[in-house]
Parts: sequence; C-alpha cells; structure tokens
Amino acid sequence: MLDLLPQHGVGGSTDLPVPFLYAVVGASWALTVSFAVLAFAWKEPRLQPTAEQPGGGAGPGAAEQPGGGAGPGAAEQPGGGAGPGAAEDREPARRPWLAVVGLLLAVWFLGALFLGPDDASNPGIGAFYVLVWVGLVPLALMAGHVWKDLSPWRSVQWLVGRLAGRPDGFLVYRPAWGYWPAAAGLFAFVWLELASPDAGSVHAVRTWVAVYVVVTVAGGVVFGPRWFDRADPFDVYSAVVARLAPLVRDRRFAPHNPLRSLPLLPVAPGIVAAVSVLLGSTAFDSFSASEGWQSAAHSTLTTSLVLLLFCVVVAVAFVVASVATGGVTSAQRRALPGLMAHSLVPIVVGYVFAHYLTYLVERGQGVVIGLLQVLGTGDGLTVSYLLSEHPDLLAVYKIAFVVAGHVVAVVAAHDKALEVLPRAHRLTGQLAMLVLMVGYTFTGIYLLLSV
Amino acid sequence: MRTTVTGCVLGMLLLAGCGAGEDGPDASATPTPAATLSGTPSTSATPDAEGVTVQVRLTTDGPQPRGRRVEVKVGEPVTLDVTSEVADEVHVHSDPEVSIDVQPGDSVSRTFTLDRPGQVAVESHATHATIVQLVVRP
Repeated sequence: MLDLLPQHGVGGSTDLPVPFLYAVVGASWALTVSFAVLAFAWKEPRLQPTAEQPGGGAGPGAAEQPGGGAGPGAAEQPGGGAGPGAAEDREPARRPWLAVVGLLLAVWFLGALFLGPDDASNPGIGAFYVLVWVGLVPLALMAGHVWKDLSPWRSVQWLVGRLAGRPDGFLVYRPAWGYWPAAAGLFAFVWLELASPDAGSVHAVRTWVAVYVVVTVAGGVVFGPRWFDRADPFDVYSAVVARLAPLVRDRRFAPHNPLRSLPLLPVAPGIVAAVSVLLGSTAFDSFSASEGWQSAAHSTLTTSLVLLLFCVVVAVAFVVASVATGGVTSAQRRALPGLMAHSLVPIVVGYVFAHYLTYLVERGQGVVIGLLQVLGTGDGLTVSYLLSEHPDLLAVYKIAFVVAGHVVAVVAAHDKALEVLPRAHRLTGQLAMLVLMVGYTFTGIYLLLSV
Repeated sequence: MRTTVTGCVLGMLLLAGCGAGEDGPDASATPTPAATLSGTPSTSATPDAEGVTVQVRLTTDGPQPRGRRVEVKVGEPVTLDVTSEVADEVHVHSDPEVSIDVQPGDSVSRTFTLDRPGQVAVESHATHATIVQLVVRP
C-alpha cells in the first residue's frame, strides 16, 4: 500500500506547481513587507528578552554596548544566568506521563519498522519519514518542545543515569561543540532521505535508525541531558521550532507573542549550520524534483555533494549577510551570525509547511492506517484527499506559509539588529540580511512555481 | 524551459520525432505481442478524448524519456507503451499504485486513469530514474 519513492524517501504523488499569479502576488507581498519593516517599523528593540531576565543588567542602555552584560559572550556561557541559553536550564522537569507515552510510541514505531515486512510496505518507513520527521514541526509549533518530554532516549538516559549514580553523565559536554553534532545528524537524515541510493528501502531506514539510536543513547549516557539539547538532531529540530510556538513557553501552556520567545534560541557554535541544513535540504528537495535534474543520471556522490552545496550556500550567505555592517569590532562581528540565527527559523518553518503539508496530511493518514494494522486494527479506514482535490486552496496556503514565515523572519531580524548593531549602523547594517531573506523567499517561491 | 520541454514531449507524442536520433524510428512502431493486462493496445499517440499515450523504452543505459513532464487531466486515460531491453518494473506512484513488470524484449501497454490533481512520478524501479512526471490537472 505504501510504496515510497526511493529517490525521495517521502514519495507518492506530489503537489502541482503553484500558479504563476499566486507566486507573483506572494513575492510582491514579501518584498513590500520587508522594506516596510525596514523603513517604518520601530527603531528601538522591542522583542528582546533582556528586560524579563533579572541579573542580566541589560536595559536599553546596555543593549547599545555589544560587549556589555547581555552581549554575545554571555549567551555562550551556560550557567551565566543572563544569556538566552539560561532559559534552557531553567525549564521545568520532564513530565513522566509524556515520557511513558513517548516510550510506547517508540516501541510501536520501532516494532513496526524492525519486526514488520522486509519490503517497502513496512509502515515503519512512513512513520520515520512522515510522522516523525515532518510531523515534528507542527507538533513543536502547537505544543512546544514536547519532544523533550516524549524522547525515549532521554528516558533511557534518565534511568541509566540514576542507576549509575551519574544523572548528568560521565563527561562534560563542551560548550565549544555547540550544535555541530546536531547539524551533522540533521545532514545525515536529509542525506538518507534525499541523496542516498535507496532511501525508500526498509534496510536503509533500519540501518540509519539503529545507528541513530546507538549514538544518541550512548552520547546521552556519557554526556548527560545536554547531549540531547545539542546533539540529537530530532530533539534539536523540535527545540528550535518550538521557540515559535505561540501557546507554549518552556513546555507549559502560556500564550505569548512568539516573536518574544524566538530570540531565546540558545546561541551556540553550529546553530547556523543546523538551521541551514534544514533550509538548504528543503530547497534541494524541490530542486531535485525539477525536470532538469531528473532528466539526467546522477551518481550518489554527485547528489550528496549538490545537497551539501545547497546547505553550505544557505549558511555562507547567511553568515556574510549577518556580518555586513560597519562599526563593530572583529569579535563582535564573529558573534553576529549566531545572534541572528533565530531569524532563519520562521523561514524554515514556513517553507517546510508549504513543501510538506499535503504530504504530512495525506501520506500521514496512510501511515497511521498502516501502523494501526500492525496492531490488528484500522481495517476499513480510508485516506481523505481533501487537500489534493483542491489545488487552488493548496496553492494559496503554500504561498501564505512562505510569505508568513518570511514576514516573521524579517521582523525578528530587524528587532535583533536594533539590539546588536551600533546605533549609527542600525538600518544600513541590516540591509544585507533583508536582501538575503528576500532572496531565500523568492527562491522558495520560484521552486514552488516551477516544480 | 519547462514549457519548451513539455512542448517537446507533446511534439514527440504527435510525431514520435523528438530526439529521434536516440529513440530510433521504430520505437513507436514496435508491435505489442505481450498480453495487455488492462486497456487496449495504443493506436494513436494523440492527447485527445482517447487520452495520452507515452512511449517508454527501457535500455541498458536507462529509460527513454527521462524526467519529462507530461500534462494530463484528471480522469483522462493515460497509456504507457513500454518497450524493454532489460528486466525492470515500471512504477506509477499513484494511489493505488500501478506496476508494470517487463522482461528483456517485452512490449507492454497499460492504460490507467488518475483520480486526483497532483504530480505522479513514473519510475524505473531498477535504476530509480524518473521516466516521466505526470502533471495531473483538474
């Protein structure tokens, strides 16, 4: 029933290209809003968390001095008390009932994957590509970083840590490693999905998942919970998206302006790389479905390198655009990409929704039915193709998601730039980032239009 | 570029002449002795009321065509005329899926319809290459 496109991992039929008119309207809005924000929006930072954090000593005055209490240095020191990273350590404890739910789901999905059929009909493949990878994004957006509660690997680490008397692991996770392990893990996933020779084969998925589980659990036991915050690709993806959740803050129900929680994304080395893998790979997924790419044979090596190139171009362009300002010291300049990294997240989320929502909703139903059949139930359920049957609606929401993500990103970048850039360069210093974001969004819309 | 290549596909369907150097002039004239599991042997390559017909050749160098866009309407009969030099399976990634098994020397024709708008890949299972992408419009 579920035969996935090997080249795609997440195959099946895909959406029609969006009509030209929709694309033009969307692009026009993106461009207009961008420059309206630059020209007419507030001129003092409004969304930064400094005022809420006692001990930060970072009022509006201090914000003008990037080397001061709330500067980039503070953010990277865990336990420093004031930086955006501090919020992560002050989060409430994991909820046991959700940990139990997470363990049950893991047993269900992994049981289906490893004990189910040895061919492409195995529902564990869809559970992995569709429910876990794509479903993670709306879950984090609606319910916050609930992944932290659900994560069976955190539960295993908790249990082993207690039994061994080492709840925080045996070695210290070095701050300098930052998000680099997660960036590597995310790339390993998108490589499997988009560039590996046979992404839809149950053997490939089983191998990948087995390695992932071993690395994640072992790392967690050795380095403690910090490992999951920085190195588990799914946990990090969820945590990053959850900064945009409007209803949940620190994993508890607390409606708020998500633009205020977004800047709380911890600034650590590799954060730009991790987010760039998400955006670059989604763009590559569109690109690799184009006629030009499909009309020739490509070796796995070529495909892998082009995928990597997409991620690197996204990252390098972002770094260049974020440091393109005057009036800062070289140390401050080096800190700028990390400080701006959160502003990429809404673009990622908007594009992921545009690209994968039909897939999640329609393929996801098939996957759930397949998973229910593993349990001996779910017969007679059928998939509703409501979205596919209304391609105009689909085109509207796809463009709307991309443009909405763009607008949130531009506002987030604007406000952060007001905080971290010297007063004399507040507008000119954010121009390059604005142009880059317009570039990302136009590329995204172009891919939706042409593929 | 998409438009021009699509035009080329349509032109090929009409004339079987696009890229004739690779296809060989007899590609569309190959008789279809193998049993057709459903539908009829194609007599026309015209995208009219009788639907759209796509000539597919599976060679040791991969499928011909490769990655082309073919525009079809929801509910319109789509016929794949598959001539193969190799053992392969042609998968149509619709729901329900259509699968055509071929052995070396086979010529198989299969007709199906697509019920929903979207893009449906027709893929060679052995090479993972996309033969054509059916662009299904309402």
